[in-house]
Amino acid sequence: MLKSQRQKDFVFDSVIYVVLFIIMLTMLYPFYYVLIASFNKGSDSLLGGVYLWPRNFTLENYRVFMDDPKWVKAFLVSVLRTVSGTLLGLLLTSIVAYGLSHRDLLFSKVYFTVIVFAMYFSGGLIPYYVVLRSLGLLNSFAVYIIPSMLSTFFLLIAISFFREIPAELKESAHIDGAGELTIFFRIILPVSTPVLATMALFMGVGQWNSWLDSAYFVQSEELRTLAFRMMEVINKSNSPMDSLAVANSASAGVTSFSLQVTSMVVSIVPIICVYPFLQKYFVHGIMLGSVKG
Amino acid sequence: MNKSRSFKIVAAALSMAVVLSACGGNGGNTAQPAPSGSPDAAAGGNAPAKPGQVKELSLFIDASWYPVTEWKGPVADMITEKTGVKLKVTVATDDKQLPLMIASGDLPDLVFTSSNIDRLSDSKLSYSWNELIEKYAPDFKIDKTRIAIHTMDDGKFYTVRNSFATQEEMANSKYSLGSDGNPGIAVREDILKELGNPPIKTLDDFVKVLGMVKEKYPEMVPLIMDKDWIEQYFLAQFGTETLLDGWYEQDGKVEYAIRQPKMLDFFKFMNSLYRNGYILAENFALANDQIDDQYATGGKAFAHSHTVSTADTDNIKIKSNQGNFSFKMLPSVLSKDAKVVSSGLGFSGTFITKKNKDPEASIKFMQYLASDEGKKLTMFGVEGVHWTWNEEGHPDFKYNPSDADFVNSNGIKWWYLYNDGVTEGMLSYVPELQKTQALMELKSVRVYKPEIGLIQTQPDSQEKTIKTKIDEMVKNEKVKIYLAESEEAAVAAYENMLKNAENIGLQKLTDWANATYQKKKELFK
Repeated sequence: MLKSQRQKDFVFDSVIYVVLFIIMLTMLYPFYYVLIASFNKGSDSLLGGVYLWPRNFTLENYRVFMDDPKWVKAFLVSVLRTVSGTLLGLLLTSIVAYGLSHRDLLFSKVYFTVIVFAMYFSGGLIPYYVVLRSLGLLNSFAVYIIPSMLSTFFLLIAISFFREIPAELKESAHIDGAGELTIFFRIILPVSTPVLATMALFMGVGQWNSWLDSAYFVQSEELRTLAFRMMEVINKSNSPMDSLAVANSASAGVTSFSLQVTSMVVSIVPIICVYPFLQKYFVHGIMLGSVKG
Repeated sequence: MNKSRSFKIVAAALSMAVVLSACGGNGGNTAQPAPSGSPDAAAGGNAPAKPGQVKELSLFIDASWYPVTEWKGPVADMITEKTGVKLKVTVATDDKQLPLMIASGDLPDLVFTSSNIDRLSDSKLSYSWNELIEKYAPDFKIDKTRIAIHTMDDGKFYTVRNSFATQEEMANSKYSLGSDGNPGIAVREDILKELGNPPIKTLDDFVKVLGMVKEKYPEMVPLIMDKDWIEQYFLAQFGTETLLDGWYEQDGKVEYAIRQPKMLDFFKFMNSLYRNGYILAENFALANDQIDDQYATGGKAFAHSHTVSTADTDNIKIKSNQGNFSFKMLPSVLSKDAKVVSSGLGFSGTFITKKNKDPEASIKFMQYLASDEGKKLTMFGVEGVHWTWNEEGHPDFKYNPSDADFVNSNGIKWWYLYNDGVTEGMLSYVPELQKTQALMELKSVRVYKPEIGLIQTQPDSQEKTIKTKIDEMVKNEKVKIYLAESEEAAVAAYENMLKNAENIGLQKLTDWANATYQKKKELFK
């Protein structure tokens, strides 16, 4: 009886594993394909048939891609905006969320209505641009940081997290003479790593990948980000060259496709490096409030 | 207790402040385009630049693919030397950027665009060239045809597109040939030789040779076609004067392409190619434009339909793959009816915006670029360094005009903020290339009718909707005609396509096109 139950379990588990393995492959293979294509000679990739490993290994795609000294500067701007944007975003979002998480807050319904409204409706690009201009944020580093410091989506997640924290924690700190700021920074934040890590990951990825603000709201070449530079490469690779020029450049090995996959790899790598360290928090954080009790 | 209450009030105030700021400082700010009566507009700009004093103007290029992004290199330096103007260049990241700048009123001094010409040809946004030329550059002469093409409903013109040439200009310049974007068919030289070099002087000759190939090399595809270049070569041979989504003119009236009587002959011909097994059915479903190249350069096809540089391009690839065969171009003209009508209006134009800080310097800058010296400098490079003038009437290049890296890094060609199709067309004159011969043959049967190019439906108009629906329908129905099982079935499918077009509103569209055509024709008188 027990044996047949175990056999059933084994069969069932095996099926589950096989299905999950297939799903994993379908998710991972596109990344893998982009990776090998970036190390394969561009003109060779066009012939098709490159599936498992580079057929004609080359670093030429990366050389052409990094040939421009602007890359280092763009990389630094991206790192700076990602770090500062994420830290300031976390700080402001958690402060506001903590304030709004108090159930006895005056006019809390009004605040929530405004927040939810702002989450679903926006003025659109042109009003947004005009607002940024009137605030004097155009063509400055601050345009990367200030508009994205408060996200209504993360605000709601953080509010629901802070509401889960037992009130006794705050009360006992009060009794011990701690002020609100002390309670927030020394008690609330340390126990909130799951939600903070989750928000940090999303904000960081968002900051790292953002190119639109660099394109529309900044004119200074000094302030261009890595994501913007990659868009530039992809755009330039779509130049309508005549076929002779294409044939001449293809015989040198680099094609628009190989440049595009290379830029994908360059943009994905930093996120892949950070992700494993945040993943355990990420799963915990995003599930917040999903189970009552 | 007290503390708790004060905390609540602080928290409430803080939250309120943040929430309100998150909603964006909606102070009712709206973009204010510079009024035409602003000092900017009225004062007529600053004094001309003194020698040695360089003015910087901002230029926005509305083309995200643009290969040059900085005003540098020998061509740019020489233009600055001649005009006293240098440019601070911004290249668009996508096609929404310029509309955003227009809507917010944040325009640079100059805008170079192809897709927003109608939008920027507006006295609220740009200076008209008529007034600037009259005021600052009375000796800047622009020909009547260009002015006619660009004159808007207010009677003014705000830009002149580059890459345009009139019939006379082209006729007067033997070596100006046009661009790579012209149809051509290349065939395998070695196989022709094995077949005994049968002559190919007419379409029938070509079809006969395809038959011989099919018989002798059954594993080979007789004709492979690039997915974007299926019809053009044959339409030209039948003399239809238009592609499948354009207008043709007869006796002063315009008609839509599919109504052209010669269209039925063309469709029958294409269908016969399929029924005889000379082309593949899947050729009409190719997803990318590399597959036909692989057939050709991989030795799996006898003839390759693409552009005038097909043979040159294929041969470069075959050589780099260590192949031992080569292609040669078929003549561009294989029939006495062959005709190509060019209704193009040019590519892009430069606008001098109302935000321009020096309209005088700007129009004089355009005037220099429009001069013979300016056009050659822009298009070929620095005389003596990059080219020398051949008394025959064309430049002798000291570099390969197809070497994109060299051309882009020296800023050759891409500063053509004002230029013309004649100068540009000379870039194609490279005597040792087969493409040159093919273009020369095409030139002999090309007719210029820019007034047809001015029949353009406006966005969101009823005509645009009808035309889009008809074009979409033709795209689907034409394949049914090509792949019909018999000539009768092909004719029936063609008639069905016409009927569908009538039902969508073809007559209404044609009436509108004729009204527009008559109006536009007046401008050319």
